[in-house]
Amino acid sequence: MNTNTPEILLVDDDQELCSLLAEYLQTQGLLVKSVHNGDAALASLLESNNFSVVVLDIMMPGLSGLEVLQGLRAKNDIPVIMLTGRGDDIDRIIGLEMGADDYLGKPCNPRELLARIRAILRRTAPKKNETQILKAHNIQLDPGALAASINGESLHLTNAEFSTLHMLMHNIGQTLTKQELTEKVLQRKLEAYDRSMDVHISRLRNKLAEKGLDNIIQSVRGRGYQMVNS
Amino acid sequence: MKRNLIPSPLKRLFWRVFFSFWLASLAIMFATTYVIVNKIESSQFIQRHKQGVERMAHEIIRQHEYVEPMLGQHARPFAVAPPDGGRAEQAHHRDQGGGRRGKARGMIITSGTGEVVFEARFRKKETELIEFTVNSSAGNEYTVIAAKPPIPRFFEEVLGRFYSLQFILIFIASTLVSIFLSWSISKPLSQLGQFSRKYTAGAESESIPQHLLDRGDELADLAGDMAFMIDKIEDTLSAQQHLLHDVSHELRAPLARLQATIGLIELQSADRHTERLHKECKRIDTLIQEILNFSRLNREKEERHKHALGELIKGVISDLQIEHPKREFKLADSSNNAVAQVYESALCRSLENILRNACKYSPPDTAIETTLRLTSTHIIISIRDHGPGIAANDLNLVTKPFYRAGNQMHTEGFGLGLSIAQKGMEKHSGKLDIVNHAEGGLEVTCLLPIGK
Repeated sequence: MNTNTPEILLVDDDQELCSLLAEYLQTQGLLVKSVHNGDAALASLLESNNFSVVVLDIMMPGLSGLEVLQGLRAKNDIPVIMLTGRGDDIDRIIGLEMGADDYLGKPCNPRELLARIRAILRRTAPKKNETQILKAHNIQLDPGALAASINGESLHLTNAEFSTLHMLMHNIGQTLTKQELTEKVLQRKLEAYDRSMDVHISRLRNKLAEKGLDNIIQSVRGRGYQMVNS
Repeated sequence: MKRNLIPSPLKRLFWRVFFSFWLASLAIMFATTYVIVNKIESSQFIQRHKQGVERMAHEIIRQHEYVEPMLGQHARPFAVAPPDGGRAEQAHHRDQGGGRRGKARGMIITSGTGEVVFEARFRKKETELIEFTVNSSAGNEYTVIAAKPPIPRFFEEVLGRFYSLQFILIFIASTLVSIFLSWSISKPLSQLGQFSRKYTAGAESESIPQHLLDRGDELADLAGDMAFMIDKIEDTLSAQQHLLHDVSHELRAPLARLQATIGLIELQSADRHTERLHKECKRIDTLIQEILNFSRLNREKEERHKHALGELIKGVISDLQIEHPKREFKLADSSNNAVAQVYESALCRSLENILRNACKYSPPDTAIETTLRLTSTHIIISIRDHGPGIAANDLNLVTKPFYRAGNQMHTEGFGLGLSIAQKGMEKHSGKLDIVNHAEGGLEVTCLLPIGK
């Protein structure tokens, strides 16, 4: 098997839907493993480190998607796309706060799911041509290795958080609108009532604050966010 | 249902209980006092009167026996009364009887031998007589017949007492007791009423005050019954909510499979038909969502929080701006950064639906104008578009679920937008005013009462 083919873990209690989506994604050149409950999902993640993205349904009997998310975030930073019922804003926000990278309303067009997965894959692919290491506020960010550290101490970030930090450091001193951030970080269009970027920024701020870097990311009311010059 | 009629104060239970108890207690007190005073006073009076008459008779007899023989005069009625003693007696008598006019009462004194020693004519009304014998110091026996005194007007006396401090205190006490009694009945009733109004207005978190349930009387039973009723309502509503939630979930599952299948078909031959299928799937999904939103508004356990109204509206507008990037939204905020206690999600959902509705029906190059202002009683948020407006006879109907003005089957809407807005207002005890603007376009106004 080609080790370069990304593998997706698809977690949904609807078996028929899983097989349809798996079929779709496989024809698009992805490997898909489907599991139908939370325990199986956590077990699969323990067994193998090969998964590039987890697609996680929030509404599942037994261990809910949010619980699975909590369980897996305790161990690793694998990118997670949540499938949520539309209008379940609370679930979305909680999911993002627990470290999900993005969400998608369900039912969805499989094209949209594929686009989200690809966006994440693009982001997580090591960028060999980007060797320029960014430095600001004692943060050192290596886009090529997807690694960030503060004063030499490594910083654990989810993929979305890493990209956010990258964008902010790359444009230090400039205000980035939510639209720009969503398009560049999540590689999709900003939607109405889309709080994804706010949640990613807030998680990032908390992680930076834990290392003693307060207030380096500022909200510009009605416009967006910016990292202040160091 | 409407309660806007101002009830006459006399119809209120409070005043009815108060007045009936107060009047009854006053009447009882009057009657009791009257009877007691009458009884005591009348016997005392007759006693006093008789003593007075006796003293007078003694004096007359003393005069008759000692003074007259000395002066050699005959007894003469009216002139007999001794200049000093008699007048004193009479004066005394007047005091005692209260209101005698200084005239001697009718009296006949007869000696043992049958000789009339004194006679004062009886007046007409003096029909009741008393008779008694007097033994003079000389040892003679006289018979005295005198008029019984009329029973004085005790009412006057009672009234006189009424003006006394004692009666004022009784009066105050009975008023206070009546107020207390009335209050103790009507207060819990009005609390129950208040509770049920709050409950109807959507504050489900409220529960019946515990002290009402602990009273142990009929009102506590009523409160208990109400609590029971509310539990039933809650059960029914949450069952309905669950059903709706389950149904929507169950509907979405096949919808998701349908979309995945369309995706697979599309891989082989994407054309306008598969695009159409996607669109219809999306439409069904949106409908399910709207129905869920609509039913949720009623039952959502949301609490009021303080929010800056201008910011709230700006937030809603900026989210809609994402959906309608080319549309111009204007906001005129004259509220001076007013802050109010509102149900955030209910209010935002209302505004969002009104604004979205406005976007849907007005030409894309026209602005949607939102104004926020305050009066002393209300927060007024008004949203005006430049669309065709609504026919006058449809204005009252557009807030009905699934009603679409002019029977238009708009391709994007379900006729729930304004119903959701209406519900959001009801939750705030406010209302939604929908009018055609004088210069064209529809104007939807949210009226939210302040301080509730």
